[in-house]
Amino acid sequence: MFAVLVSLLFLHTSAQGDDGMKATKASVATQPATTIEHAGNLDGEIAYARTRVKEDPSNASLHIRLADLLVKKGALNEAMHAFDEALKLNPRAHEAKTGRGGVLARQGNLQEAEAVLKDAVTLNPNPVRTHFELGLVYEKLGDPEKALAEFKEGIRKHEQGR
Amino acid sequence: MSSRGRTFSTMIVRIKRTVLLTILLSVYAILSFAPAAATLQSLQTGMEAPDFSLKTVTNETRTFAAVKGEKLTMLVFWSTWSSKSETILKRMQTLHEKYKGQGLSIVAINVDDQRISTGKLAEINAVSEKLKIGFPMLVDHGLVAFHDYGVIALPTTVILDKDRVIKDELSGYPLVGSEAMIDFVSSTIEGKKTPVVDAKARYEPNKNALRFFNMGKTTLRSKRMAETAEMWFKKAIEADAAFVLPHLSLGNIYLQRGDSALAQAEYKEALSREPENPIALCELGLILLNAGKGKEGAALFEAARKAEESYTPCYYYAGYAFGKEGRMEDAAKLFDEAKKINPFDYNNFVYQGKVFEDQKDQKKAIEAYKKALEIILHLN
Repeated sequence: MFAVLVSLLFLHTSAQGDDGMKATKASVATQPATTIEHAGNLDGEIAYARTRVKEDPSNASLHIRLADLLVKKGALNEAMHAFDEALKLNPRAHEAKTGRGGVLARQGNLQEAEAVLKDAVTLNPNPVRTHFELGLVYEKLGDPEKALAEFKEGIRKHEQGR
Repeated sequence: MSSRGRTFSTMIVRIKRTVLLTILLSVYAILSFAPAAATLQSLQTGMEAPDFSLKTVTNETRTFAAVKGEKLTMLVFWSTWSSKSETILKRMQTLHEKYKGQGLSIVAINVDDQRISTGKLAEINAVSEKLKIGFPMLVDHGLVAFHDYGVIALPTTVILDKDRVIKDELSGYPLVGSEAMIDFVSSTIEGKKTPVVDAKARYEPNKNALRFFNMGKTTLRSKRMAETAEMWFKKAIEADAAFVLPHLSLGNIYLQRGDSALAQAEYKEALSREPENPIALCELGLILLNAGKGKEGAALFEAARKAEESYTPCYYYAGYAFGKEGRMEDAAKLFDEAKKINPFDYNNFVYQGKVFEDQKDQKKAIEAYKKALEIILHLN
């Protein structure tokens, strides 16, 4: 379970910034990337996301959604491929860059991950997720000062966007 | 004494008892319903509540119109992880059985998560079956109603009339408040005129003030027009000086601007109207704490916890205050309490991070901030 009832206090969860999935096409708005029936069932969600990608292969958001699910499953190579597909369709898709950076970090390629994530920060005005991933990279690189700064910056950006 | 005299003196004693009982009941009713702890951040008694469109556990859509009662509708915002939720749902089922078909509608709204998985739906169903819930069980996908109503603690009960006007609101399941709320429901459904019902007909904000306040809320949501929100909230106060919510909203605006003096004035004004308002108590306490007045701040946090035991900021602000004094064990206890009440309030971890930073414990600070971000980003 990782239910997130973010903040009973401020009630401003609306801003998960631009890190949440954004529909770039009207089709996505009318048909969700995940159905309620599949929510919580990772394999079911991945199968559904693959179907959606096949139906609408030029939609970068769908590739990113699939990639995110593949990351959750630990299928990092496949996820990387899906992020790359999204970036081919939209080179400024910061979610794809952030996802790509996260995968590189998980694969142990920390220097490249740092470069990709820094690039993603410049593309996204509210990069909460990117700061989080950068924090993880600096933690693994043994730089707690920078890790702390990135995590705090992520929280600050979240609060600014609320 | 003659038997006539005895009868007369017995009558006098009875009258005295009745008068005393009436006075006691009235005092109880007034105390129970005097402006007390706020339950909702941007709504209060007398205001029209927003409509909703929520799904049942079998994925059918329900709006307020579809579930409302002829006389009253009770909305119970609950979660599987809040310990008091089951208690109140059980009590609601008793009430439902008693007043079914008499104008009372009870609706449970689950607010466990932004995204409700099949596993979570099964969990909600299990609670419903265990408690033999006979009233509608709705699920707030995306927490839309939760935010629209501005719920600050769980469980929260909101009582609406058939026009969706809020008649009462209650957070948590406090002993006195809950019984008073149920007395109010029973009296209203049974058409009785009791001190409890009379006490409910208390202050309601002026209509113009409400209109200005709602304009302020709307403009606050728009990034372009957010600046004008301050003007609307001020107009709301001009129209009705006793209306507390605009003071809280102005306090929040000033805090975000970094003007703690103005924020402090607004929270003080709110407290002059509602001395037990937990939001005003906690935010004022935090301002004082940050100004180096730790003891005054801590007293306000304690008062807030007494007024509203389910409002998590009272706990982690107090934890932060203890941490600043180096009382780490006391701080840890309060952070744990906050986590028990709401494990998904990311600010609990932000304040833990601040304490660890003050203590120069970088490793623990990193862990705390990381945890806060994991909650914000819905990661596991």
